[in-house]
Formats: sequence, C-alpha cells, structure tokens
Amino acid sequence: MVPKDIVVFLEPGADAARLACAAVLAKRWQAHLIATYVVRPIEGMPYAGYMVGRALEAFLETYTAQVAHDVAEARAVFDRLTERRSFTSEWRVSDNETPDELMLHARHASLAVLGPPAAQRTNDAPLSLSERVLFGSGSPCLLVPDGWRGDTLGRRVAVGWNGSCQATRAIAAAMPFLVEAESVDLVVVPQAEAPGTYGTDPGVSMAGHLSRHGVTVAVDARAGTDAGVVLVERCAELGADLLVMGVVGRARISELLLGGATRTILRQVPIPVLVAA
Amino acid sequence: MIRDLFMPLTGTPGDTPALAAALVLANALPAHLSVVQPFAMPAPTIEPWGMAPDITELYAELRGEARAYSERFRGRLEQEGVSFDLRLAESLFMEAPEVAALQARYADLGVMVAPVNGEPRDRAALRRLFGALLFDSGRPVLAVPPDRPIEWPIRRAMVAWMPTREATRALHDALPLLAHAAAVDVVTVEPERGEFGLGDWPGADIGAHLARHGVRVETMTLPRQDQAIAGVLLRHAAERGAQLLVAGGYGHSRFREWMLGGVTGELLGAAHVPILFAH
Repeated sequence: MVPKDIVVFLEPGADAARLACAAVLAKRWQAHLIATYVVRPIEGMPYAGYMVGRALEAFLETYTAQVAHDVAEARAVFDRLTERRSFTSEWRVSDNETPDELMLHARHASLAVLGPPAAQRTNDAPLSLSERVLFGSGSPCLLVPDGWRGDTLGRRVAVGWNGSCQATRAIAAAMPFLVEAESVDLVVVPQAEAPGTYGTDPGVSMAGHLSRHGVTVAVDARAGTDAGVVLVERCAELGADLLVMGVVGRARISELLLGGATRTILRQVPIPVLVAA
Repeated sequence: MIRDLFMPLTGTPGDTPALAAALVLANALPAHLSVVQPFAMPAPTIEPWGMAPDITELYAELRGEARAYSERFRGRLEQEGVSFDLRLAESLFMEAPEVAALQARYADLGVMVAPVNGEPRDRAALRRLFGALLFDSGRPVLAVPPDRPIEWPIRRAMVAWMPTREATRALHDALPLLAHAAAVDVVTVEPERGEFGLGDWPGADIGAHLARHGVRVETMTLPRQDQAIAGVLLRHAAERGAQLLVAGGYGHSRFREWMLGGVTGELLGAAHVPILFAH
C-alpha cells in the first residue's frame, strides 16, 4: 500500500532536507503530510536543575521565548513549503509529551521521516529521537541525512539483505519505493556473519518475492566479511539514492540503542535510509 | 499489496482447512501461493565405538515420507489454477517451526490454522508454529478457524486497537486486506481516556489514518465488564458478523522460548474468525 500519511519529525536546528524529502513523497503519493515539531524539553537545557529565585524566572522566560522563536521559524519554513501544494498538510507541536504520546504521531501514520540518529545525540539525551521512534513505534522510518540535496529519492535503490527478520520488515515497508524504482539491487554478502540465514542461494528467494510484486531486481552477491562496509561501498558505486535495510537494537536497560554495525552504516551512508526494526 | 502467500504444512488435520483458506485468498487477491513442508532431519549421533551410523537410508526414507505427504495436496492446488509452488524445506539444525519462519520471509502473509480443536499434541505443534511465524518471520500471520471456511469478499473487518508497536504493525500489515473490506470497525476495549491514555475519543486518530487509505471506518469502544479481553473482542466480532479480525501479537521472552501473551493466546485458541496477527 502506498503511504497515505507521512509524518516528519522536526527538532530545533533540524535540517531542511528532511522536510523537503517528506514533501516530495507526499506529492508523489498524494499523501497527507504531518510535521511534528518536537520542542526540546526544559530538562535538556544545560544547568536547568541549578536555578533558583530570580535566575529561574529569567531562565524560564528565555526558554519560553527561545521555544516560541524556534517554533515560529520552523513553522514559517513549513508554511512556505506546503503553500499551494497538491497534498494536504498539518502542523503539530509536541511540547512535553510522554514518550508514548510522541510515538502515537508515528503510529498513526504510514511512514515516519526522521533525521540522522548520530547527529541528534547530545550529552543530555543519549537516546536520539530517531532511535526512539525507530524501535518504539513499529512504523517504518526514513532517515534523511542532514544536508541531503539529491534530486531524486528512490530511483536507484540498494537493499541490504541479510536474511533477518528486521531486513524482511524493511523490505516490506519499502515496497512502494521498490515498485517505482528504476533499479533495485539486492545486496547480499554471504560470507559475512549475519543475524539471519540465507537459503542455499543467497538472495534468490527474496528476489523471487520482489519480482512477484513487479519489482525489477538484481541480486548483487558480494565478497567480504563486513556487510556494513560492503553496503556503504555499493551505495556509492551504484549511485543509489535510497538504502533499505533492517536495523538491530542493543538493549540499554529498558530501551534500545542502535547496534554497533548499524550505527556505523548510518553514520557513513550519505543518502536517505529506509529502516525497520 | 499482497502478491505472495505462504502456507506451511504441519502434518496435522489442520492442513486441509488452512490450504482451503490460502486458496481462497490466492484466488481473490490474486497472489502466488507457496506451500512448504518444513521438516527437521535428525542429526547423526556418534555411537560409543566412534562409529557414525549410516543414515543416508534413513534420510531418504524421511524425505520420501515428507514428499508423499506434501504431494497429497498437489491435486487440490492444481484444481484451483492459481500460481503455486509446493516444496520441502529440510534442516539438520533447526526445528520445523523455525524453518517455516525463515521460509515465511519470502512472502507477504503467512496462513495457518488456529489451534482451536483437535488432538492436544497437534494443538501444541500449531502453537509453536504460530509463535515462530509471529516472532521470527517479520511477516504477519493469518490464523484461520479450522471448521469455518474463510469468507471473501470481506464485508466487515474489525481492528482491535491499542496504541502499541505491535498493534501498529498489525494494522500496517493488514492494510492491503482492509482495503478490500466494505467496512472496518476500529475497536478499543475499555480504554484509558484523556491525556495519558488514548485521548478523548479512542481510535479517532487511527481511524483517520485508515480513512486516508480509503477504508470506511467506524470507531467504537467496548466495555470490559470484568471479562477476558479476548472474549469481548471475539463476541463483538460474532455480533457484527466480522470476517476478519486484526490484532497485535504479544509475547514474553524467556530465553529463546517464546510464550504467547495472554490475549494473543486466548484469541488464537478460540478463533472463530480469521485473525491477522503481527508483532
């Protein structure tokens, strides 16, 4: 099913590329575009806990003014981008919502567009918004790198296939992209240590499944032991403008962090990545 | 879009109704149907004298038996004129349910029979298969009742909604089927309202999401009245004449052994309507 509602998460200092990508997709699929601006929580401000008396008041005033200013600025960008467009759109501000409420924005949409997980991690928030939505919402996520200026999105697609449950989910979520792509490369790295299991002929069964959806797919078996490195290289060689892959989490007390290999790929790949957990 | 269906053979009497349901879907959608018999080969054990017994003959025999069983269904498949493949998937190191889960990854939807009646041993086997498909395949599972044929087209479908990751996935995965339904009930059972629950109108937001996909939605909340949630959902499905129920599937991890969560297990064991689960 083609996504009919796309939510893009924005935070202070979010790159314009993310919103632009979401708008491109909303136009392509005539989907409803929702921008959810996530206000930086006051606990996240440096020294917030040490204020008393007049200083606290002043701090709160500055904080409120800063938030209002940031929201207005982001809103202006959003308005400019969605003015007189063929798709419908909606602006939301998520201020001090519980983690579950925040997840709902993604759960009520077909696709969540987010920023790069690594760049968002700050000292006061070890878990980035992207990671929380990715592992917590159950919705497919498109991670757009900051500064992405590609003209196309999903014309040449690289798919990382390692036989895992997560990669299966990512491929299923990417189907609307794959059926419209000019070329789809199913990259398999049989020698790499993988969480999943390939059949006797790595990639062939998955290629069969994709072709039954009308996807023109090439199985791209590569030598190498580090699937992440191979994937990053192949994306560059193919001139891919979208990477599809599953991501694995690492338990951190009660929440999930991106696994090491996944994080490396996401840091190195300069193109949008469609992921599922 | 559902273009690929997967149905594992289990060697239980449930294979016949499961195949019937899969064929109805394969015809209606239309979709390719992969019928796979997963089976585990016994691993060779070394005898005390250090001799490995010759098991080639045993393997050939087991393979022959598995093939003979799966071939029983070929006639039925050919009769329907759908695109299909019928094959064995054997493994030395994995149990049959795990093999089935791996094979299910190459399809959009797995179809199996719900362990509602029959021998306890068969029911246990089906529950294990269900657990493997739900937690390890990454694809949704449709559990069909053994004694009632699946109905198509779907006049009314029902979504058991909770604002969780699993229910979200079930809904996403069910969308291609829900798009075929003339009407869809989005049901929440005695939800927590207000800011910290499901909002003032439970199901309204997810209803809007479905409506954007062209689905005709009705949202409703059901009172629980101290009854089991699974019972409340199934009774509502019966009253409304729903032909499909969509629910998130939950589990508790206990080392590598997955146990079905309460509502999931209860729904599965009493399914009188096809239920689509996703995790």
